[in-house]
Amino acid sequence: MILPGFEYRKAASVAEAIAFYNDFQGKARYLAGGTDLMPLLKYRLSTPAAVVDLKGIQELGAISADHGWLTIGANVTLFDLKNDPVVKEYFPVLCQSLEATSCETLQMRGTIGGNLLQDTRCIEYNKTMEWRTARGFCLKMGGETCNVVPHSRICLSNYCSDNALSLIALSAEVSLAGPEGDKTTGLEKIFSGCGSRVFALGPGEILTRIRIPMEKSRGVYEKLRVRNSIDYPLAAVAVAMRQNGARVCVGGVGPAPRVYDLTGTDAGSVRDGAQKAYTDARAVPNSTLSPTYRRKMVRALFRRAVNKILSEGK
Amino acid sequence: MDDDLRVVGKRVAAVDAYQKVTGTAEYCTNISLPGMLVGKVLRSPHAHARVVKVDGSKAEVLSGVKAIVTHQDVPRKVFTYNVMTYQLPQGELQDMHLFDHKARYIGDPVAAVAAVNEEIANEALRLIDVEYEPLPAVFTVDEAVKPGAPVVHDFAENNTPVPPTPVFCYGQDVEELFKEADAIAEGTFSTSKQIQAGLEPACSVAHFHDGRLTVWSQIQLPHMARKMLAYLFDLPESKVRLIQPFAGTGFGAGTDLCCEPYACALAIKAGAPVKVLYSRSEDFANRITREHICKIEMKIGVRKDGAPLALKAKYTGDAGAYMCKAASGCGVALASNITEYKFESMYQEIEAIYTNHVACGAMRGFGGVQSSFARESLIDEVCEKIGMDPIEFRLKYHRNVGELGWFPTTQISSCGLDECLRAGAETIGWYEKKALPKNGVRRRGLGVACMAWLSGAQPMLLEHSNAILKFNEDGGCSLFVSPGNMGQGILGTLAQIAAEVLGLEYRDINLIYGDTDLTGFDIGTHASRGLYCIGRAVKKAAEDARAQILERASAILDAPADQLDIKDRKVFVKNEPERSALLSQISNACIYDYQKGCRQIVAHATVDPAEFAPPWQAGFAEVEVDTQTGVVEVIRWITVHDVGRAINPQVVEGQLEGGTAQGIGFALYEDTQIIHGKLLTDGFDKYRIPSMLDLPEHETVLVEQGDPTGPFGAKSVGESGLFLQVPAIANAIYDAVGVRIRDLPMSPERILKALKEKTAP
Repeated sequence: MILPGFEYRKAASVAEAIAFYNDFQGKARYLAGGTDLMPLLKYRLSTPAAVVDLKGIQELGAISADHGWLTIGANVTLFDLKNDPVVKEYFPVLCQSLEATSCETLQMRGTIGGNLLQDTRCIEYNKTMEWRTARGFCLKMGGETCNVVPHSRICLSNYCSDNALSLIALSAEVSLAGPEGDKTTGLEKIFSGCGSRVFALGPGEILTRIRIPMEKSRGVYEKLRVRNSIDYPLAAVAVAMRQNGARVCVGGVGPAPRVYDLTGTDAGSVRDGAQKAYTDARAVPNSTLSPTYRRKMVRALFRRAVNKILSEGK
Repeated sequence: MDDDLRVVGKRVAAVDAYQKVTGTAEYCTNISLPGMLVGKVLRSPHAHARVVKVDGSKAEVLSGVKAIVTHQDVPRKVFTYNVMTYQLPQGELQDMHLFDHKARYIGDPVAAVAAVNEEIANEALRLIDVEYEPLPAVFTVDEAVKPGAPVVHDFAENNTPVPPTPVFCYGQDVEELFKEADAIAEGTFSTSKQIQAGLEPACSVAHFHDGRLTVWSQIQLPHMARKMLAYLFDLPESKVRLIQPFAGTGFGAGTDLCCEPYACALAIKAGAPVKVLYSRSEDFANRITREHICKIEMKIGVRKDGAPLALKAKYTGDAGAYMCKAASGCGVALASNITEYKFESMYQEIEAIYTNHVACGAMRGFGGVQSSFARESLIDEVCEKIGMDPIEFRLKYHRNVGELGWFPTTQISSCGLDECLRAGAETIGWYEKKALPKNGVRRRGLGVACMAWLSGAQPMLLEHSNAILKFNEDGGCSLFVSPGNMGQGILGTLAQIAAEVLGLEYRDINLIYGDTDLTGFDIGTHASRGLYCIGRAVKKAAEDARAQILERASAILDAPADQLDIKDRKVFVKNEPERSALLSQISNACIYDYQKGCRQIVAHATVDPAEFAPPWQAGFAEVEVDTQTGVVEVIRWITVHDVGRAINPQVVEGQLEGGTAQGIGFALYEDTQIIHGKLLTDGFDKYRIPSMLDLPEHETVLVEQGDPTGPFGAKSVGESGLFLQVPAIANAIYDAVGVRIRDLPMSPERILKALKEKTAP
């Protein structure tokens, strides 16, 4: 499959990247590792006039621990992050989700910023143009209705970042820079909740950094997938436990992660939390596994992840 | 076994290894000819529709478009992708037309274009105006046979080209024997429509020049493909040349034509070379898949001591839109049951039904993989009922030398299954582990299964092979053979056979292959025949060449030919080894003989074998089942295989280990999901095959006792690798958690559901 034609610009700074974006009147896509963007371009699921490469922005390539935060530049590769000693020592859940992301070859290419801002996936969306034309365009392609759930007016394609779940469980924040200025917000707040427009970001905004409060945690990441070697999650649960309680983040099902703060760690609270996650999970037939099964697995993995931490602590 | 061998039995590097690892090997995909055009196929978006009109006039005038072909441009002929039709005197059912008036599956070709580049070719496809009259479509065999179901082919009543037909039955009435049985097990099994999933997508290049059609193809059966293409385009066979470069796919996909007819039609019309290369999604959705035996109903009965009484089975093939190999797949499923165990009687039927899916052809383990699943699962079940260890049953009741082969009149020529079972049981720790208690969230289990396959489908099918050896003046020689060449390692193995007979080194044999203009006729590669059949031809030709060399040497060394031997490129008198002549000296004298005695050493051998030499195998699985998620992890896999003789053990192990991966994929997750005739799993991200990292600890143990009919005692190994993962894993799952899974893939969801049903009151 060949790439469509587009203009290519390589930015040396965040400001220059935003300027390029403006040059093309917003018809530009940012490129980091490219592991998510390239297939989208080849499938013509994205047809930008320009691709603005962020890989040359040196300042986004560092990891630093100071002022009570671990700050991670968006250009840091998943592989480097996975091998960072502070991440290993302080944030085991992140270490596990990084390890569970794709395969090492792609971990060396993909960046943490790109991983968080990856597009949602659906078995009827990530297809060739010929396939989609024959099937008819769905909501996410600008059509009238969902192809998976007839008559549905909302797209429930799956957000498949493993690391967003662990970062949210760790109460991570993200810094955004855009034509309208800079801001910092909780990672869980950047999602729109709608699969056809996944992120509630302003036009041209760039995710520049992620920061996690420097507090040691215990953590477990549980992921349902067909093959352990490479696949996207079909349901996943991240749990981080700190002194003041456990935060659970559920993903892989639907367009946005869901957060659950556990008030207690007794069997009843864990069961109730898992049941709530099961009730909330909006699984639809948009992957190779059935929605019923994926929902059940949200509950099973939730309990498994929390109980694993609890038993480790004993 | 004769252990005085110098080349056979050695782990030599595959002849094509260097080319492949350095990226210089040539595949259809990277062939580039001057002026070559890009060919693209226009496909029906409807699962079933009449093609009312195809108008290419707008596309024709697009700059860069060189040819458009529709049904008007090709001779209207009934044909089939299944070139194996020529292996039977009466042929197999042919039911296709190039660009037919009706589209019968989503993707059925309607027209094709050739243009100077891919973008223009794609644009031209969009400009072709096709008027369809959509028809109701049918997607399951149960729906297809209902009264009033849409008619896929007019000639096939009830969409049933092959109504239930008994084949190769023997013994008395099975129903009477079931009455005598002390234990009976029966069940209905279903399998998914496995995709061969080669690394190289379908690709073909065609060039029509000077009245000759040259076709580069991934086909495993080059000579029969030539015959079909010659017929299709009204050319004599001699005017068609089929070249098979290295193929990055195979696994049976190359036993049927794919994009060749479209490349040919375009090349003939354009008068320029044309390459047709399918995209991954096009390849998965349009290359005909594994023979799809969608349903197996099987029943077996045994006495309380295990003695096998009767086996009854019915195989239903979902043919898809065209027959190709649906019926033969069911037929082989049936035949492969005959040899394994000493059943007193067998009654088996096949049936094939048309639907509006892509047609199905063949994949490694043709039919046998599916019947092994049913048979070996049910054997496990009766063993439990009569309280017999599954290994003991198999040791006691498998067939042996001289007993029934698959095909009437054939007999088993060798059998090493006892050794396979014993070696495997010991390696995996069968008896110790079986005794362990099962508890906890993750539970472990062990499973075993057995099979007897074939080494070529003779005498049922024509399995004609030729080999030619030609000596050069330096004592080296060229070996002309024509197997399908898809990375299985056959070429080097054939060279080892020739080198052994001729006293040469492995690298002294220069291989000429993959070109119908250069080599003798060969059926090619299917039914695990390559080494056994072509190997026999090579050995025979080498023996002839050897006799010619010795005859010539006899004059030079002044000793009778029968007292001479060849070793290390030297001919010598057996009891006076110092009396010798270099092979190069003899060979040179045959070519440059100024005394009017020129006669180059050229040997040709034809074989058309009739013997049945089954390879036997036992497969052992250890699995761990997660009772909360239903996820099955294969902890360990062991293949123990009676290959007769491993000509190159490294190649044999490679074949078996590749099969292990395919078998585990088929067992646990390869799942062709289709909705309304549309393939959902049309890429490696959705149709998941195991990667190297997904493989469990696995081992291959070879049993080599020699077969009296095979070259140096060798039997086949081509397909054997992927038969037993499905039944052995199914049996191991039962051992671990007590549920029998009868549908493939054995997904976590199916296992969880079965666990729930088991515990439900």
